Amino acid sequence: MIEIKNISKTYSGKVKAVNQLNMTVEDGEIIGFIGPNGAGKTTTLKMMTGILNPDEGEILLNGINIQHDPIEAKRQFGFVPDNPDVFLRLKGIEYLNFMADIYDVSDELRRQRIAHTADVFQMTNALNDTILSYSHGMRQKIVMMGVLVHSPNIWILDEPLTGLDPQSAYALKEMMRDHVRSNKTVFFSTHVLEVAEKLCSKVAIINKGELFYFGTLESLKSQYPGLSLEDIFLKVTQHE
Amino acid sequence: MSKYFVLFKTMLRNTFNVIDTKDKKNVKRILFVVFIGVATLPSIVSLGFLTREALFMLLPIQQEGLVISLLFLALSTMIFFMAIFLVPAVYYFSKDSETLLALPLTPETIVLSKFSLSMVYEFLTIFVISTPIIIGYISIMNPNILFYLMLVIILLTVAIVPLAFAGLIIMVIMAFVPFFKNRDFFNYASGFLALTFAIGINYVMGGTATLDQNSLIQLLNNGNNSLLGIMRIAFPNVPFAISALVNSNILDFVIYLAITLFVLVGFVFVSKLVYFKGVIGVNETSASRRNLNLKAYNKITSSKGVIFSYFIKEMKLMIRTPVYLLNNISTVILIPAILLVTFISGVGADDEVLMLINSIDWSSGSILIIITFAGFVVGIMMSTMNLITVTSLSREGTNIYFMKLIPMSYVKQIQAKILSGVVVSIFGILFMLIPAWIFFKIQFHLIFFAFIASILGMIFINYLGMIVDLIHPKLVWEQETAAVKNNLNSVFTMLPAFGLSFGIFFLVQFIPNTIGSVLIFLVLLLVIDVWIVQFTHKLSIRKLHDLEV
Repeated sequence: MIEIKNISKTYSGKVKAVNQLNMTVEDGEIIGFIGPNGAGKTTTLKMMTGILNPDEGEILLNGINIQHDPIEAKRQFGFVPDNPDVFLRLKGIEYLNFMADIYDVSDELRRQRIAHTADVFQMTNALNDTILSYSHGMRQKIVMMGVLVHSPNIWILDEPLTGLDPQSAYALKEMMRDHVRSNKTVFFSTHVLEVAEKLCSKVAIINKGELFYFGTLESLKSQYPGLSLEDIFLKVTQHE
Repeated sequence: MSKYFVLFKTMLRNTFNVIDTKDKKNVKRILFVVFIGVATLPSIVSLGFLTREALFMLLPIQQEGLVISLLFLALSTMIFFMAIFLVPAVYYFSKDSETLLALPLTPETIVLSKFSLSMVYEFLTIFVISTPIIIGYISIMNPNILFYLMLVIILLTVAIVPLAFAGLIIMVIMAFVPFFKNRDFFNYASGFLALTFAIGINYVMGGTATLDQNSLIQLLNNGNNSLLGIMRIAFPNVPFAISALVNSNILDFVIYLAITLFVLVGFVFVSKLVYFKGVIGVNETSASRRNLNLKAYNKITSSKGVIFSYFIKEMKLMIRTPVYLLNNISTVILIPAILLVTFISGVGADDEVLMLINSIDWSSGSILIIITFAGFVVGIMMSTMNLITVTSLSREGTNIYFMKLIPMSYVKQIQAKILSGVVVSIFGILFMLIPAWIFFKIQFHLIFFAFIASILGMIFINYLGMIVDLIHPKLVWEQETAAVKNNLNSVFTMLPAFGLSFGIFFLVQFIPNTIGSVLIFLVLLLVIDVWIVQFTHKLSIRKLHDLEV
């Protein structure tokens, strides 16, 4: 469960990136976070994960306040950033094992999970190479595998499907569905409206730092009869 | 040609961001540069005075032109060696290479723009070195207006030939020697050569240290002598520049310009033929794409404990990044090696330092305090020189967000980072103390005290380095080199380290040579260490919490 209460963030005292944002994501929900470039999506995700501090408001992850109890709150989620270029000179397998150490995953469990996800993402024969030698999509996969190795309750993903080949994108979408089926939470940003349409139980539309809409797609569409999600998105973001 | 100007202007803007004095950060940056300028002023002024002294010595024997000769030959040689390292980074391994390749630009336009950018880099070196020498020269020689005119043009163009020669060598190597196209291999290989060169120079200098001034002048002036002769052949335009300035000879000046232009045209012509051959595919990295066997898989995937795992990650990233390896770890081997080589090559020579060393009774207990203090100085110097802790946050770059993301306390993370600096520093200390113990036959208990003092000094400097990096991390950089080489944080640990070393050597004469005073010194260090460890931990929590990327 994610509770975002009244958070705001201003950069350099001038640019208001996020303004009074409120949202509650229940267990078992996939939320698609959509908005134009520079709308405040990544800033919100960074505040949710403790990378940025909100100027005001609070964020609770499974009831734990990330500002007050950061270590325990950080154990609740796994984060995939939009830029997967991390620790490029580590081998894939070394990165995964490092993540398993950080999150105290037992030897047996980490071996099982690494082998399984490597198989799903077709990364088995790349694990012993440095991440530097990976393509963008492969880097995306290894970071995702770094999240899966500690099996967190909440997944927070920034543009997770960018650069993935069709097979891996399909596999990841299936994993997201499986994850919420077991009453866990997925919160991801995307520019691809079709993905949001097919995958999400709810969407959150943000524009110029303000939450324009948060709810089910059906409810949104009923407000704009006859329009596709793309049309609605363009209408509301241009209208602002 | 218009494309060249557009490209060069863009590269220049990208490299040297336009300074906006309204921005607080830029004001800080300017103040910082001014501070560094003031700090290096004494060296620059003394170079000017040294030039005057040399001229007073050379005037009676009518060899005043030697100053100008040495200046321009030294400049050309320095620029050439700096360019050997600069050219691959700027022409081949920079991030813009692939973007530029996709644009409809000719190879000579790209190369000439990058060449011009390298020229701008070199102007600072030329300015810093030549200004004091030229001022020293002018103050005594009172040259005519023609000298000034020619001087300005020569200073603006002197970098062309060494840069072009270095560029030609690198371009040919890149085009025809395939394994050099691997950036990591290139950095390791060039770094290794530079280290060998540095140790070699020390060996040679160790042998010539006893030359007096007259024989040095004779050596330099001798038409057949090797060093100047080679330099004159290597940079054929320089003798004409020297003659133009010393004898006010316009014809030689014209010949200088003609040779310079000829080399530049030749360089552009060759770049047209070979640049694309070398640069295409240069950033590719190799991969085996082979499955791990079960035994290896189980070994790699065994748990190690959080701090140890973090420490291993730090060490792997450092060792596998050539720039970090060469800058951070090599000094630990280089400094003891240079000292050892200088010592060995100086043996047998009539050297005052050697005689002084030999006159000390190293087995005597009476030098307990000196040995302990020397150990302390070794500890702080070997920790200062390796730059590991002082750049440990800067090296993360924009990936520092990872530190804020994981469920590991900031204190534990910085402990793991400091541990990597500590381990390498200990190796450095041992590389210094063990040869000293063997060569000087120092009693074991004395070397033991030196070791304890060095460890306490090492802890202090490593934590000080972390404090500096916490306060002022350099996180925005494009090339890994910038995180260590262009990071002035190291200066902020070096200055107190040098100050502390000189202070200790000054104080040692006033302290009674008793076991009691040594123990008081060690306990004092221990107290300071405990304080700095606690202070750093508190600071890390606050600074990393507030840090936003």
